[in-house]
Amino acid sequence: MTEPSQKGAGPLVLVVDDEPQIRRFLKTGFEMQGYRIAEAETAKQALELAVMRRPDLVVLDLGLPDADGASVLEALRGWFQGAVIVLSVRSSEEEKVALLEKGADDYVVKPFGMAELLARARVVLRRIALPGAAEPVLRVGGLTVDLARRLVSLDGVPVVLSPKQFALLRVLGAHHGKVLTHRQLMKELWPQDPDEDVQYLRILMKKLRDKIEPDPARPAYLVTELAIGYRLRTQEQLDAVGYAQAMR
Amino acid sequence: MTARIDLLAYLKAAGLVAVATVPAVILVVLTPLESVSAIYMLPGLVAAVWYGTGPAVAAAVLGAVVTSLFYPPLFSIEVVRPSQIVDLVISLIVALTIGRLAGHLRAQMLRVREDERQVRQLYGLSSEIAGAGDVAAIYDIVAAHMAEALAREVVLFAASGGQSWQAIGHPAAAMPPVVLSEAARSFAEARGQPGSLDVAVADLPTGGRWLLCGLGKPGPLQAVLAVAMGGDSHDPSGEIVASARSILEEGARSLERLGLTRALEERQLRQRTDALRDILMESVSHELRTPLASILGSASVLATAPAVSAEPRLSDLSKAIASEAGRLDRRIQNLLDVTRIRAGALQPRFDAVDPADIVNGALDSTVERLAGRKILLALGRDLPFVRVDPVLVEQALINILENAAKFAPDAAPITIGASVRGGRLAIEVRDEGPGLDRRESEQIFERFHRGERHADIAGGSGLGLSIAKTFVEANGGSIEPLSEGPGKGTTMRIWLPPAPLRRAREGDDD
Repeated sequence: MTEPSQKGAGPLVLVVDDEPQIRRFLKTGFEMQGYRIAEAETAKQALELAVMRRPDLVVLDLGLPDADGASVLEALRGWFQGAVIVLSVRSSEEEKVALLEKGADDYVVKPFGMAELLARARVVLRRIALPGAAEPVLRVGGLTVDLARRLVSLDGVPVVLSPKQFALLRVLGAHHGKVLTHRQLMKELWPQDPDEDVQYLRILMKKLRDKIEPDPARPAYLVTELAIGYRLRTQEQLDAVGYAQAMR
Repeated sequence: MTARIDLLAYLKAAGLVAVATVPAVILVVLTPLESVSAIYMLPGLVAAVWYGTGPAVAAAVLGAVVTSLFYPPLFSIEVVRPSQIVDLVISLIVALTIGRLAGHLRAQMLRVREDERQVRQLYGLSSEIAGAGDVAAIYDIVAAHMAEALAREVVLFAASGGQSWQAIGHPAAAMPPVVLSEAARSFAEARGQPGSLDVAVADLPTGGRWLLCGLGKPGPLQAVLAVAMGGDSHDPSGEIVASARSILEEGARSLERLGLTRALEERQLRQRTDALRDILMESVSHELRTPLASILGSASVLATAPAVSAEPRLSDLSKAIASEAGRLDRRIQNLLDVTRIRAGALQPRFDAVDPADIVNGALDSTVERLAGRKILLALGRDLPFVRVDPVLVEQALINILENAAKFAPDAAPITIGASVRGGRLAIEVRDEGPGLDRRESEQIFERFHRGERHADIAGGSGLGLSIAKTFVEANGGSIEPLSEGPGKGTTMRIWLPPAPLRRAREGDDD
């Protein structure tokens, strides 16, 4: 677990939700982990507080009384450098894709446990704490990716990837732990025709998994977010899903 | 009645001749007039205009006779001079011709007036009907107009479910004879056959003579109008039948229009219902799930609190609260899914998907619920992509997995496989549970079905498999339950349609 702060002044989280009970448990949950909290009930309040308090993370509910979450996100993304995690409802994959492409760093589907949200928060906050490129060397389970030297190994054994396969791994590694939508990946990988069939991306992903996943049938590192995109798990995310337990 | 009116007209014509005699006598006395024949043409003309051709002819003949009285010798019908005879004959011919012409004119005028009256009546009928909101009101209006236009008693019969036909709008004391309603019924039934008449005469031995008119489009009738013809032994005149028909046509058109209006109203009602259902679903979804999100979230915070996590019994409790809240949330989702299915609001978003992604997604979603279970994964390598909505198929698979976990003994593994069979992709979930007999294989997908043999071991609403089946079928696939019999486990096989084949793009490999 990341220690939020040494000085008792942990990262500031702005919780935006019109339900007091939800704000209450979020406040307690975050404060127990050393975060500081600011609360907003409306979109208007949220934007004001974001300007005044400059939070490190905004936890944004989509069902606000005075505006939809997407417009708040757009207003924030004009100038706001911190992270945004969206609280979404189920069965709205389109909406999630749209929000991710508008600059949300991640989403959590309601109802959710505090541990899940805290894990997401740590990932997005760490990414923001490292400005510019991601860590030069990524380690997840037995997978090691040296982005600068373009070296990949699995359990210490070097793996040879095609340039395109490495490009996919690099893009996901640059946003380590974050879900990237199909379209975002297509744009990075095939900048000249990002509207090509997503199936090419899926085929590429399948081949990449065949090379770097210990069990390609049950990917542990490169995971699919159905109907949304892909994510390269961090070590923490990998531990959290309790893979070994489920697959025992 | 008509005979008496005619007689009166003839008498009046004679009266006119008598009246004309007054100026004739005055003229003959005051001036040395050769003939008064011109004066006696006037009564014929007037009679023709007022009373028609017959009285006009009578007036002309009478006038001629009286004229002859005025020839010298006065007041004798004896005609003496040839000139007088010529005068008499010519004046008679002129009077008769004028009378006939005027009579024709009058008849034409009367016809125009009658037409006008009918048009006005139909106009009144249609404007009154336009305001009618339902079938019964149209029946009443048509019957009232028929009674007024034909100046006869009209009895309205309407089908009131099944075989019974009832007179509408009659007090019990003045009910029309039963034989009449019988006649109306058989007339209505005959109208269902091709080539039948829209109007018929019923001669009832005990109930008099009635003109029966069918109201409505050709085909089985909903209403019959019976027009009393009284003791008249002739067939009803063409005028009455024509008049009745024009009223019936107007009524039939209105009924048809009302049918269209009703269809329109029903569609609007349906749209309003749909909108209402969407609002309701959204509201149920929000109202029930928001507190659940608070409960689950709060419990998850409690579980991590040092005081609670140090005490296993307490942390178990808070975990139980969280997992039960999650279960309730899934139940609500099931109900919402069923509502969506029933409303026909299921719209798959098709995409070419790696079936392994769907299987893994379902496994990830059920990690907690299947914790402690042995799961065997047997996905073939290089599975072809399928063309489905991955979210719907994932949900179907989750429901099937939960079902398997519910029925199979805890120690027994659940096997998930995916393979190509006969060119199609099949995902299989196999459990070592109680299995299925033939009847159960047919019933398990029914909504709210819970097997009798399994009732004691399984909780749940019985919606899961029904939803799974609907979701898979919405994706162009099917689910097949396979079991070698009771006690031998169950395999759920999901067939999914393949996606068009694509190879990796050039340069993407190596």
